Formats: sequence, structure tokens, C-alpha cells
Amino acid sequence: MSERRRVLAVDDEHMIAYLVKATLEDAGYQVRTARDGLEALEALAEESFDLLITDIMMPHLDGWELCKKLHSDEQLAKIPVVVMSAARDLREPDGCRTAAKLPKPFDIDALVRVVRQLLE
Amino acid sequence: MNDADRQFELTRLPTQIPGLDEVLNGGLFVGGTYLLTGPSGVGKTVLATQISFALASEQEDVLFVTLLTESHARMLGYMQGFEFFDPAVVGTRLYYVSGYEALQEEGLDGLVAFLFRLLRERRPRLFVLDGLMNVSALAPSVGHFRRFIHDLAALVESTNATALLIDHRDKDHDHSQFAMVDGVIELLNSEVGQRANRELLLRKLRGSGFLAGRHVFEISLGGIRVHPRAELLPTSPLADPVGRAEQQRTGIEQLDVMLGGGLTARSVTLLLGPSGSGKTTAGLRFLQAGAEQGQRSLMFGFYEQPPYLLRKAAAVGLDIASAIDEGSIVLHWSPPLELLLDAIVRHMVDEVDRTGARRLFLDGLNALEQGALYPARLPQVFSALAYAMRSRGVSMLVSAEIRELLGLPEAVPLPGLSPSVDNLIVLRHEEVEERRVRLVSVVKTREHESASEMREYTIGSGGLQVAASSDSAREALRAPRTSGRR
Repeated sequence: MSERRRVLAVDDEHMIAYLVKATLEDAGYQVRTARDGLEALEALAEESFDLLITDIMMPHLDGWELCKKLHSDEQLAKIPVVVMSAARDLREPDGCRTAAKLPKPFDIDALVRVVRQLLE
Repeated sequence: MNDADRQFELTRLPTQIPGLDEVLNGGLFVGGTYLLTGPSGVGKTVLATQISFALASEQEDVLFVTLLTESHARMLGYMQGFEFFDPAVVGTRLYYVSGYEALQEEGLDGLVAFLFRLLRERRPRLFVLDGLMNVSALAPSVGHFRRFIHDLAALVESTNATALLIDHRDKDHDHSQFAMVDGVIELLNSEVGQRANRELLLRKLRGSGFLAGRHVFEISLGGIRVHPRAELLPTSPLADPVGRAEQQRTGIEQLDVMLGGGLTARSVTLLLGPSGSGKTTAGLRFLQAGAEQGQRSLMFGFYEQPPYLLRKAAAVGLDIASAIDEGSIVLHWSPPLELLLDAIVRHMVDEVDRTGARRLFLDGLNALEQGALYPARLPQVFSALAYAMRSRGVSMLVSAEIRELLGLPEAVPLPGLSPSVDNLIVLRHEEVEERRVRLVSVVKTREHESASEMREYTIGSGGLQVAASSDSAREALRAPRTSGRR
């Protein structure tokens, strides 16, 4: 049996992080959650991930800054980034590339569909 | 529309409860979480169940989770008497689950996890959680309870469901802990004198305007029906508001002369007189005159039952029965007992819309006053009714009884109605030399010159006849009175 693909879900809203984790774990993925960009960087330093799903508006280090830090690192730049936000303007800033964008409120079916497309 | 626009698009979920969607301005919002609160026995579970069956009957999935000790069989047993109850959808489209054990054994977090699993598995259009007070009772603090509501709202939104949370609360309780829900529907019991009354109050509806205030509702075998406050009757701009409206004959020839040609179309006329003065007879003639001109006419009566009314009409030469058979006159009668003012007024407007009627005779304003739970509302409700009828091009004649006329200026029996009344006709009796003399006067007309004199009228097999001049009335008023004016 192949190893489960690993997803890092970053959201300062506890329930959203919980919903993403529970939904993707049911879909067969291994999920770790982080509350903001700084916690996410700590997780990325500790273990490897196949996908990053991040909120944009977060304390300490927001989703765009997190994305830019990923892309400034040769190894981490390979991880596809999915942003998920209630913000209307989801144009990437310089130094950040996203693989997909999910609007909030998000639909769990759309989430699973996007993750499957990127990882399978 | 791009994805960003669609992201903020709000889709309505009509409740299909008669009257409630009008109060909600179209329904609840998909993805929203709504609190349904009120004291025990007021009808919260009936309301949620009725919405559930309505959706299930349209092949939508509904998840009904209870946190109560009461068994589902017992709950359903109470509901099976309602006409909306359909056993075929129970267990298929409408799914009952108990969350009581999850809450008792695993607390609030366990219940959230339990509900999320259920919502993901069943993907219901509507999710009802009955017994929120049990969550509140088990929550370690208000903060924990608020977080539970917040978490629940997030998972409802993410599964594209719509949630109704049923909470038992006494009146005047604090709603602040529900700040995060999208709407609060409160059901209330009230007693006015010996009369019990149920009302619905929409305290909040995010993302939309709504009909504010208390709306009376009824529970019958047909389920719940909400009667939006009549003061908020839907109106449309008056057709040709400044143009001179045509005049409509009352059918009483000399009264039309006194009125300067008849009653103005889309006007409101108050017909006052003591008991037995001929108000109903005049009203029936007004309806028949409409029928003769090809206009459909409606009558709403409260005192004289239809068979008696038809016999009475026949005795004065009015063939109302044939007009009813032909459909040109539509008669509605309700006993003047525990009337719901908003229901009656709405019924009148609905009937005008349904039938396209151009004349309406409301026989007994006093019945509305007696039936109104809060009589102080009557002037505003009457004003809304008058505007609704005018905007539909309807001429409305309203009779009201006055006990005894002591003088004309204080003729309007209900304070506050005058501004809504275009024409005022007064009928009165005088006992003159052992003879009863009937007198009619037109006290007010808004759009036409009218005769200022008083005239005698008679009621006989030829109907209600007004004298061609004021001579006989003047003569009678000069003669010594047996009784009457004091």
C-alpha cells in the first residue's frame, strides 16, 4: 500500500482547519494543521508535505507571505499551493504562484476535487 | 458571473410556510444557520417539521437531529395528525437521528464531530437540530457554547446545508450568545383578555431586509400559517394618481345625485347608521349595481349569515342569489368571534387579486374592531387596506354601526379613520309624529361636489329609495319629534 499523501492546512479559524483536516483525512490524505504562516513554516521545517492549503488573512504571517517564502526556497517551491479565502481579489503577488484558488465559504466537495486533481 | 461574484451570491431556501417567506423576504439563505426560539408548546417543532416535510416532498434531503430524551416515534406520533405529514418520506428523504448520546458522552466537541460526519454523509438541504438548550446546559461556559454555535455554522456552510437550531427559551431572554447565527426567528405566546394568541417575530436576518414586528400565526391541521402584519400589505403605485377617476353608481339613483354622480372609482366610503337603518341593503345594492355594469364585486360580512342575507335582499327586490350563481358577486362570511384582523384584511386583498373585483363591500367595521387583538392598530390597518384597494382600482364601501346619532360632526365611530375615508354617508332615524323618518346625508366627498342637504329615504320592496328633493326631510325636521334627537 502506497504511503498517504501529506497535506498542510493553514487557517487561523479553528473550525475551518478542522473541516479541511476531517474532510481530507476521510478522502485518504494525511493532514496536519497550522494556525498561521509562522506555524506553517515550523511544520514545513519538521516534515515534508505534498500540498499546502492556506488561508490568506491570518495573523503574524499571512498566506501570501507564506507562499512567497515557499517559493524562495528551492525545495519548498515544488509544493503546490492552494489559497482559500473570503477575499475577492486573489491575484498572486510577485514571488508567489498558486496551483488553485478556493473561495470561502468553501464547499467540501470542491476542496476534495481540487486536492485530487493536484495530487493524483 | 465569475467565481468571485458567485462566491458572494446568496441563494434563498423558501420555507414554504404560508406567510413566513413573505416575512423573510423570500426565504432563508442556503448555507445559513438560523435560531428558532420560543417557549415550550408555542409551535417551534411543528414549524421546523412542516418545513422539513415540505422540502422532503420535493425530493430534498432533510436531516433532523434531536438532542431530546423524547423518542422519534413519539415525536412523529404527535405530528401525524397534520396534513403535511407524509410517512413515505420518513426514513428516506427525512432522516431522524438522535445526537443525545454523542452530546452526553463526548460533550460539545464530540457533538460537533458527530454532526459533521452526519452532514458529510447525508448532505442534507436542511439540517434541523432540536434541543439546543441541552447543549447550552452541558457547555462549561457561555464561551464554549458560543464556540459550538460558531463551529456548527462553519460546518453547515461548508456542506451547503441550511440549519435550523431549535431552542427553548422563555421570553425576554438574552440573544447575545447567538450573535453568530444568520437569523433569529422567535415564536411567542400572548394572552389578551381571555384570548390566547401566537406571534412570530423575526429578530434578525443577515443579508436581507424583512418584515419587522410581530406577525400573528395560527396552527391548524394544515400546519402553521403566518399572517404578516396588515400594516405592511404589499402596495403598488396608484394607477393615474392625479387623473380624475370615473364615477361609479351606487345603484340608488338619488343618492348618486347627492354624491355628484356616484362614488369615485378607487375611493373608500364609510356608511354610518344605527341598527336597522339599511346599511346592508345599501351595500348590497352597491354590489348589484357593479354586477349590472359587468364589474365583479366582493362582500365580506360578519353578522348576517348568507341565507338570511339573501332572503333579506330578495325582500327588497335585489336578486343577489343570481349574481352569486353567475359569479359576479362573491360573498364571504365569517362569524365575528376571535377574528384575526391581519388574516381578514389579507384575505380581502388576496380575493381582490384572485377575482379582479372592482367593488368591495365590508359590512361591519365594528366586527374588525371587536376582533382586533389590539384595537389601537385598526386605524393604521384600515389605512393600509384603503391604500391597497385604491392601488388596485377598487371602490370600497364600509358600513359601521353607530348606536345613536346625536349630531353629525362626531359621526365617525373609530378615531383615526377619517384620513383614510374619501366619502362619508350617514343614515339616521327620527321619530316624527308617531312615524319613523329615515334621513340620509352626504357629510364628505373628497373628489366631487356633493349635495349638502339631508333627504328622506325609504326601504321597501322596491329597495332603498332616496327622495328626489330635501323637501320632505325639511318638513320632518320642523315637525315635533316623538323621540330621536335629544
